[in-house]
Amino acid sequence: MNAIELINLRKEFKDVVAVKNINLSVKEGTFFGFLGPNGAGKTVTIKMMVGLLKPTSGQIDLFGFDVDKDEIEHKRKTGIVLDEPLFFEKLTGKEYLHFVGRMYDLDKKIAESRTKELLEFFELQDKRNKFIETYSAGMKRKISLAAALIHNPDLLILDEPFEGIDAVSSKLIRNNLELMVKKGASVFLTSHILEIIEKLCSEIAIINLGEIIFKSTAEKIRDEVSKEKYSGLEELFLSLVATGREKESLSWLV
Amino acid sequence: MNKDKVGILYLREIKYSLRDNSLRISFLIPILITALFLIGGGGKRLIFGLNIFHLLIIILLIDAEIYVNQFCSIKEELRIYLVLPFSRLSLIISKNLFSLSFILLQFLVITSTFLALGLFETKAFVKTIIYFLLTFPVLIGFGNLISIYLPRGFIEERKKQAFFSSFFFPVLSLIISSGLYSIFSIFSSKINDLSRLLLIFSLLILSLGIYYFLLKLAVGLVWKKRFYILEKI
Repeated sequence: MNAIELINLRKEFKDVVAVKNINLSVKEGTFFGFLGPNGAGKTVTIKMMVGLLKPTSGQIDLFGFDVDKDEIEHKRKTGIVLDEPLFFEKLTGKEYLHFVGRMYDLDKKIAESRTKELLEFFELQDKRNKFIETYSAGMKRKISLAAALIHNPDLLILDEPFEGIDAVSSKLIRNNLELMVKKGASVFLTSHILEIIEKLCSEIAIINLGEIIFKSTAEKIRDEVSKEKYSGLEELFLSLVATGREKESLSWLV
Repeated sequence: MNKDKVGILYLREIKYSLRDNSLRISFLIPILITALFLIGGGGKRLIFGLNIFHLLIIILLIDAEIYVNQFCSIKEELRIYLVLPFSRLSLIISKNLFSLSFILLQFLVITSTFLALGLFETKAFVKTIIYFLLTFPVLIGFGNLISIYLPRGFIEERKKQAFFSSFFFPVLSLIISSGLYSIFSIFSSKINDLSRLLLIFSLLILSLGIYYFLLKLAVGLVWKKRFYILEKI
């Protein structure tokens, strides 16, 4: 079964077409990397996937549920981290995680124990009783990640989840995401850190100017690299989205 | 509707609102008006034909509609609610229960103040309770719809823009309800006690029926208009 199915998905903002009829399937148990330069349409696609932006046309199915029609079932299975705040600023980290856990139907005791464990895992235990509005950007990102993980979702949709997060935490999070995928969950990840995508993802798609211009498995990409066509994902990415711009420089620096 | 989730949402609403400056200030408004009125030597006087106690409750109802019954006035809040798995009915019920608690608490504060100052009048109190019981369900039901059609954000720069839509409809609905209540008062003064009781009971059932109808309508509409609300707040 597909965890994600995007069918002819399109989004227009007045004169701008942000997403141009894209089709994409992500099977269950896949670590999927969604790449693209700034303004390519990644975040718009993700916002439509999680039901926060209305598509101009097309359909989004998560686990077979049409996101536009199904109000609850697909949400139970999904954890989300967006590039913009998704928490209550005037709740403490502990209160917020507990609240999210309970809304995902976790038993009170389980919600409490997972909240505790997540706060420890993300090294937020010292700040657990402080309002989220007092957290640093990295800590806010951590609390969003913790909230996305609390119900052990079958699908994680993560938009730049490692932004502002320190190297140690980032490594720990990556390990746990890999563990989740091994156990059958799916992860849909966008990141500007190509190294992370290269290491983690089993499938990769590249979006540029609202169109999917490349989609392949990590295995095939590695084959291409071994044939010395490209030195790595970064070169492949640049060859697709930055054609001819790699050597541009500022006039006063030359 | 999941009662557990209504409870969780309701508690979050209380916690959050007690920490929100706008709500804390709005809570003080009736108390400030009481104080100003008393400083001005108001006593038990009537204003616009209304007992001061009754008037304060009306102000309180405006308050509840404008400040409390704002369906997801904070963008982050609506975003979270749209991605979490629970029914719209649970959300609206929890918000309405919170509005009720908010207004009852203020009601209690005002009543205590009047009692302490020796200005309490049983007749005015009973009249106000009847007014409150008959109008609150309808007002809160309309408040849900107003909040969907005219979503009001707490974002500073949008407050000016939203002023008209924020105040106009709640005040209008309150004027209409007060007008209807006046008609009821005039009519009920001409009938005997038993008939009056029956009339109040019938109107209460009608009021709750209207709330139920408006609630169903709001539950359907909030999903349809979710992107519009998100855009506006």
